Amino acid sequence: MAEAYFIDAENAAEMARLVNQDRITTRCMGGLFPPQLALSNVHTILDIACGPGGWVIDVAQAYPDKQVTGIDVSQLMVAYAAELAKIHEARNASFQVANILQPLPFPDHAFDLINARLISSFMPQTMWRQFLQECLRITRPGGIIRLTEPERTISNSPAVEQLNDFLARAMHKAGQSLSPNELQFGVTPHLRRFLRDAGYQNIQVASHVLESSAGSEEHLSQYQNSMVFFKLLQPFFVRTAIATQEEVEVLYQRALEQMMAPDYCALWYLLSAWGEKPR
Amino acid sequence: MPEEIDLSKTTYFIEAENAAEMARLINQDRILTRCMGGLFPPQLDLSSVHDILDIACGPGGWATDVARAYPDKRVTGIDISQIMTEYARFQAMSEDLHNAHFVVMDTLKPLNFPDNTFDFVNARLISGFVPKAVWPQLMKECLRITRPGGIARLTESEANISNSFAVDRLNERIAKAMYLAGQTFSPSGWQFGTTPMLRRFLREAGYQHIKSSAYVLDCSYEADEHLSQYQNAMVSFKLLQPFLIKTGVITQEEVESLYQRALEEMISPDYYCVWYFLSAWGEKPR
Repeated sequence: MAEAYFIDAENAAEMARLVNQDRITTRCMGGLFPPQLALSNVHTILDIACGPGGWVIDVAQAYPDKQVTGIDVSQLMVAYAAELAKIHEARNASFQVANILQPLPFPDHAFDLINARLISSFMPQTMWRQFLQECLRITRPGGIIRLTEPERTISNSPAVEQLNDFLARAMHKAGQSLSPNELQFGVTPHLRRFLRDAGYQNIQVASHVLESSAGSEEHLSQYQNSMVFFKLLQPFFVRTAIATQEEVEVLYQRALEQMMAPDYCALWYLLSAWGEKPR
Repeated sequence: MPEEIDLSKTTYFIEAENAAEMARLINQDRILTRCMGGLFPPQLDLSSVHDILDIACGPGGWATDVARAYPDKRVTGIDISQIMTEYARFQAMSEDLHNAHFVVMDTLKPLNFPDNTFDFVNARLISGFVPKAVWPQLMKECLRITRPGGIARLTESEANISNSFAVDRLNERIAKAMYLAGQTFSPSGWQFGTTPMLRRFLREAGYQHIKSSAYVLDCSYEADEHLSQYQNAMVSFKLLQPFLIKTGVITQEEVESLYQRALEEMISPDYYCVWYFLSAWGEKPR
């Protein structure tokens, strides 16, 4: 299986970006779990594509009585996460390298709760079904899965918009988009379907917003995030023949300037969908 | 002096005195309130809120709901439409809601209220008729009539996101037409781009402690609101056709065949669609 993520997973800059983005995503989601969720029956938790392990370690620290496992395709991220867990003495957190596009290395009914955030960036459109079947298999009857995915950024900056056009187009070309419109990701309307088709029930959804406008709380963090993200995306744009290296570089510089302008406005919407495995 | 805005052209893309539009808004009002989780942001202390204004209240759903739920508060709804305000007034009268009042008023002109009149100013889905350039002036007017310590809340949406070719294409054409009409903020016109602006509108007018919250209306076939949103789309896509044709983004033939196809695709069990809304609210300095 070819590695589908559009940024090299073993990249240290990408890891640093994810360390921050993890924390910000949790904050923008209003906490680690949906507020409606009863956690008393949740003992074993899996985080899929855990990256540098931020969510796993946060959960492990907040709930010392629960066992939390993180898996990721990246050696580097998993090593970092394991080290971080050691530093925080989070003995109930563990990490292992696993490719989620292949069968998951766990027995049936292993987890009470499965969490997967922002995995659409490397999930080929045709793989969702098989992936969720695997998730269902390792969920305990009565257990929960939660998916959280974003739609593309909406902003008033011409350069940021154009880079996001490139991203949406490149994802279309790479078979990772679920929208009939090549300017949209279109993944969030499908989350409910993915869960239902796999066999989960009592499905609920909730939206979140991450504002990155000038003057908003996350402006600087999102500026830094974009600075790394769009830099690392350049080879993907060039490889998919969406733009030339020169075009991308000019746009990148312009985007950095426009993001720092005092009238910059931008946000992105995320959707969480969660459902229960029948008992 | 702010730039003079040409108000000779009515800017709302659907005729405001249309009965089908009123019926649509009566339902859509209620659904939006439910999707927003209630009438006010949950964090808000309502004990110091006595006078409430709803801007572009349409048939008055939100204002009458507030009047019913809070008999001790006074609610005023304004709208440019005669038939909507008459309907709202009738509705309030039939329920004996003496604390709800409705007035015909053009939101794009200076608002006919004294300074510091309201503790809470509410405006939902007004970007359909507020030209891009008018927002700052409208927000200044809102600030003027808000009491020190009072709140203004704006709620707007982006175009919905679906897996239906025809729904997506119609939405994309609507976004383009609104872009050409100067009513949206996306630099390229692929989306409305209004929701990222709300925080800035409030801040530039002088509101502070700005907060925001996102809501989603799931219109998918299997979602609770599927039927209501099918009906909503059926009316709004129909009423929008003259606007789309007038702005030249589509031909009569194309829009009609897309409309038929959209209606079919929306009632397919495989139809998935979500619609994002953002509220932003801020406080006038004391």
